[in-house]
This record gives sequence, C-alpha cells and structure tokens, in this order.
Amino acid sequence: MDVLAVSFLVVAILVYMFIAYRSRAFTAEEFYVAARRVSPLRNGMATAADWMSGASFISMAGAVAALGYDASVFLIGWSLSYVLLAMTLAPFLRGYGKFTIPDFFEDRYYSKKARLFAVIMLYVVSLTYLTAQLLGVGVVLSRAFGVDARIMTLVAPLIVLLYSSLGGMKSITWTQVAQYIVLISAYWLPIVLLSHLWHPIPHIAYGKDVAKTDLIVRDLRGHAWTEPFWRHYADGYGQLNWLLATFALMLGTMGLPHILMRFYTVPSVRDARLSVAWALFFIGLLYLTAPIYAALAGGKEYALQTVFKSHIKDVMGMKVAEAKKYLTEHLPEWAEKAEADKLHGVKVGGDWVRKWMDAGLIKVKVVDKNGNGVVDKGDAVKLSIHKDIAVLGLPDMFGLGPVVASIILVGGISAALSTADGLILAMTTGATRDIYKTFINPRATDRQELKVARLSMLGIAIISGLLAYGMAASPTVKAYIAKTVGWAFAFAASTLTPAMILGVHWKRTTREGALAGMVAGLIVSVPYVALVSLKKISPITIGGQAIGSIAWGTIGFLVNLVVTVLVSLATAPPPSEVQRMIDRIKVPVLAEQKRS
Amino acid sequence: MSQPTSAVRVEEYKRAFAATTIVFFIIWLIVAIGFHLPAKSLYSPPGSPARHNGAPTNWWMIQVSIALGVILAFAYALTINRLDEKYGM
Repeated sequence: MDVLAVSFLVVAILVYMFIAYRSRAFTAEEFYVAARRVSPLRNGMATAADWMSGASFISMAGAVAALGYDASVFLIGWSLSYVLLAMTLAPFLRGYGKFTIPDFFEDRYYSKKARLFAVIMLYVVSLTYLTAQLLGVGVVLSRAFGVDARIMTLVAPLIVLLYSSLGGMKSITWTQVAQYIVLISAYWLPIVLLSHLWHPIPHIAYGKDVAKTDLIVRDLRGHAWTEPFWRHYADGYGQLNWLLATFALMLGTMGLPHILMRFYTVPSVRDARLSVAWALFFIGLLYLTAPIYAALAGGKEYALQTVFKSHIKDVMGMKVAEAKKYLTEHLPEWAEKAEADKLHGVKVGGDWVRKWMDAGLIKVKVVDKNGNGVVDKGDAVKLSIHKDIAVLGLPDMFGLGPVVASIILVGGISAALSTADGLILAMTTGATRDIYKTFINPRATDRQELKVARLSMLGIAIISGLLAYGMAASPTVKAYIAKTVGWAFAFAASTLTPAMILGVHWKRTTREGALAGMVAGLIVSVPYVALVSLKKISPITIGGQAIGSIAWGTIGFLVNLVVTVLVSLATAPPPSEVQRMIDRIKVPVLAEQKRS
Repeated sequence: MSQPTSAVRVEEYKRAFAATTIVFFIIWLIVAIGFHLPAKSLYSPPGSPARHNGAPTNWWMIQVSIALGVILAFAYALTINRLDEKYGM
C-alpha cells in the first residue's frame, strides 16, 4: 500500500463529501438545476470538470505522446467544440429553461416518443462512458491501496454515491468546482517544477523538447513526431480522416446530455454564453498543457523504444519465452546505461522503466509468427508502452519524487470522479423526470420525486459498478467497453446533435423528420463504426485515405441532417405553439417572461 | 429591459444576432479548421530555420488554435450580451 497516495486520496474524498453535504439539495429545483443560481464562472469550472474525464487527465497526453501531431484531432476536437456550443445550443437551452435534455425533445418534437428516444440515447452514451470512468477510478485505487482492481471498481460507485445522492445538481456543482481545482493543480504541478522549463510561459519553452522527440522518432520510424498525417489511428489515416474525425468529436461533444444539462443551471441566457467561455478557458488550461507532457514523455518513451530495438538482435535464435524473459529483465539496465548523446540529448533512465514494467504497463511482446518456437527475422518483437504512463509516470521519469506522483494520482481520481458525478446525475434525471414523472406518476410530489431520484441513483451506481467489475474481470468485456466509449461520440454526433441544432434553429423541423433523421443516423453509424473498429470490415478509403470509426460520426451527422430536412419538408409543419416556443427561446426577454 | 419589446425590435435584434453569429462562425472555422488545413506545408523538418523554438509551425498551431478559441468564446459572449442590452432583449 502506498501510504502517501492513500492518505492524499482519503483526504480529497472526505473534502468532496463535506462540500457535498454542506451544499445538499432540499427541493426538486435544487436537485435538478441547482436552483439556477450557479454563476457563469462556477458553472464553467464545473463544466470543465464534468467534461474532462479520467481519460482526458490520464490518457490524452499519452495519446499525443504516441501519435505526435496526428493526435491534434483530440486536442482540437474536444476543445474548440465549445465555441460552437456557445453559438448554437447553450444559450437557447437556457432560454428554454426546463430540467433535462429529453424535456426539450418532448416539447420541441411534440411527442413522448422523441423523449423516450432521447432518454435511451442518453443512457447508451452515459452508461458506457460512466463504466469507463469507474474502471479508471478502480485501477488507480487498486494501485494506491494494493488491492485487486476488481474490488475497487465496486468501491468506486459507492464513493460517488456517498456525496452525489445527497444533493443532486446543487452539491455536484460545488464538488466539481473543488475537483476541478484539484485536478488542474495536479496537472500543472510537475510542469511548474521542471527546472528546465522555468520560463514565464512553459508552454512556449518546451519547444526544445519537441525538437528532441522529433529527432528520436525520425531515427526510429522515418517520419518526425510532428510531421502530419502519416499514422493510423481510430482505424483511419490521412488528412481527410483528420478533418472528419475533428468534426465528429466536436459534433459529438455538442450532443452529450451531461454537458448540455449544465447550462440549465445558470441564472440567465447571458450567463449561459459567458459560462461556455469560462468552461473553454478552464478546459484550455489542461489542453494547452497536455502537449508539454506529450513532448517530455514522448521523448523518453521513443528513446526507450530505440534502446529496445537495438537489442532485438540479441535474442535472435532464442526460444520465445526465453527471449521475452531476457528482454524484460535487462531493459531497465540498458535504459539506465543508454547514453543521452546518442539519443539526441534524451536521458532515458532505468527506474521508471522498472517500476512500470512491474506494474504491467510496459510489456515486452514476442509473437512467433511462423510458429517454430524460436525467435527469427519474421517474428514480431515489440515493446508496448501504455499511454497512461505519459502522465502517471512523468514524475518518475524526471525524478520529481513520490509526493508529486501521489498528487498526480489524486488529480486523476478527481477527474474521473467529477465526470462520473455528472453522468450519474444525467441518468438519474432521465430515470426520474423523463420516465417516472412522464410515464408512471405525472402527479408525483417533490418529496416522492426526490425519493425516486435517490433510489434510481443507487440503481444506476450498482449497475455501472457491476459493468465496471465485468470490465476489470474480463479482458474481452474490457476491450468491448473501451471501444464503445469511442463510439459514444459517433453516436451522439449522428443522433442527438442534429436533432438539437435543427430543433433550435429551423422551425420547420417536424417530429417525423427528427425521428427519421435519428433512426437514419443510427443505421448509418452503428454498423460501420462497430464493424470497422472490431476489424470485421476494412474502412472505406477515399483518395488513399481511410475513414476511421471516429471520423464516421461526421458522415452519420450529415446523413441525419439530410434525412431530417427531407422528411420535415414532406410532412405537416409543427403545431403553432411549438413554432412560437422556438421564436421565444431565441429572444432572451421573451424566454424569461414566459417562464415567470 | 427599459424599452418595450415590439415585434419590429425583435426582428431587428434577430437579424443583428444572426449577422454577428455568422461572422463569429466564420472566424471560428478559420481558427479551428483553417489553421490546420495547410499542416503539411506548415511542417518543417528538424533543424530547419523555419522552425520556431524547436517545433514546426503546424505544431504550434494546435496551441494557438486552442488559445484563440478561448478568446473567441469570450469575445462572442460579450458581443452578443452587449447586443442583447442594446436591443433591450
């Protein structure tokens, strides 16, 4: 057990619980939308924490370290989407001013079917996402406590329940603010401590690390790290794939209910616009720092690959198991001895390599392709470096000591917990308002509603905990769920996003049009995305560029858009009260008059 | 909310709102996508004098894009909020 990390974690979680208890909700309005009293700055912080998951914190910089320039898809797609959100959705949702995203679907598309569809999509997207968060929390907790990850995945949802069941949106907003402060401080700490980056703006000073990483990768792969569009990722490659994937991530972000619902909580339409800007500011603080991690860790990781590659010849002719053992045993000492002069000034160091090999995140893989039991030319001898090391391992790589490493762990947990909070709440409101209050007991009192909300929160936490347990226990389940998280964006982009945007901006969009569009979007996206990423079919190539599973979300979006428009034009226009509602939410004054 | 919200005023507001949003949308498109379309020509190999502080222009563009995005989001919010006030919306 890592005493330092465990004590930091316990303190952080106790603080979150205390904050949640102090700000718990007493009325349904407080439970769902924090009584609409959240200031733009505070909502921006909470949105940033809601948005940046364990994966953003722990894995994104690692993806950039591995993919270099091509990972700009994630950096750009997941941040600049917020400007689009401010222009097309957030202020209008505030103008509409109810409680959930499915609320909007029912009112706008004058049908309970639309609400039901929105709830189902909300569950599909949020549950896969939540499961991944809980697994993330479980893995980090298991490392700190030295307890089996499977047990910790069951503990993770209980931690979230401890504070979120108390106070719904109101307490979640305050805990997310605290979690944001913890996660961003943890993320910036190592960068501030690295003396060679001491410069007013480390985000400029790290350029020389980019240059080193560039040279190492060029020696190893023939292309420099920052050279664009030569790698395969998410089953695609090429500039067209980059473009479509960036759009898909942006459009997907705009269709995530747990993010959209945060804009109901600010006092006014103007505050909604400002709070998107604050959200992007707080997200930017992490996204602008991720490339520094990537360049620093990427240099060390690729230098380690170079060292590893130079020793592959040593194991030629050995038995497969022997070769694997030999490489695994000696790699840390080779890394320690590797001369920085020969690696463009990058000192690899052996301690972090040993530590993460013991943890199973750096692995030697030997695949005997011809099956003769002996390593020879045609066989694959590879070193796999897990992408989480770029962030979790950076303090070790640069000798920053165990305190910094523990703080990073707490940051990672806070990021995962804050996203889990938001997702659980989104699903709870879906179960309570959109199912219980709409279909089962429309006359429920505030008290009954809150009781159902807390019960469904418990149910959701148990279900997602069990799913995360399944993920930790079975590598096959894990692989499938990890894939579905990536799909969530493609599905959101091809179903909810077009219905939201057209619903707000084109009065003529009809119920039939929106439903047909969403179904068409699903039909176009699900089979392709699933089959391509499970390698059952190969991706479509256009001009020598493969359209990968993420990029396909943009195609799904466009198909949905076209179908919605055509079907809408072919059907009777929406009832006049729906059209009046659209007019109203465009004009802040009218929107507010109507509500009061 | 000093002025009455007449239908004419609302129409004027909507038009000004749409025009401003379209201008911002175009700037956004340039910042978010336009900056990265010429990534291949902005790239320069290691050691090239076209690099700034060690990294090629296409790399710096990632961070420039995000930073300008933040500024753009604030500029948009403030501009539209001022528009709201001007038209009494």
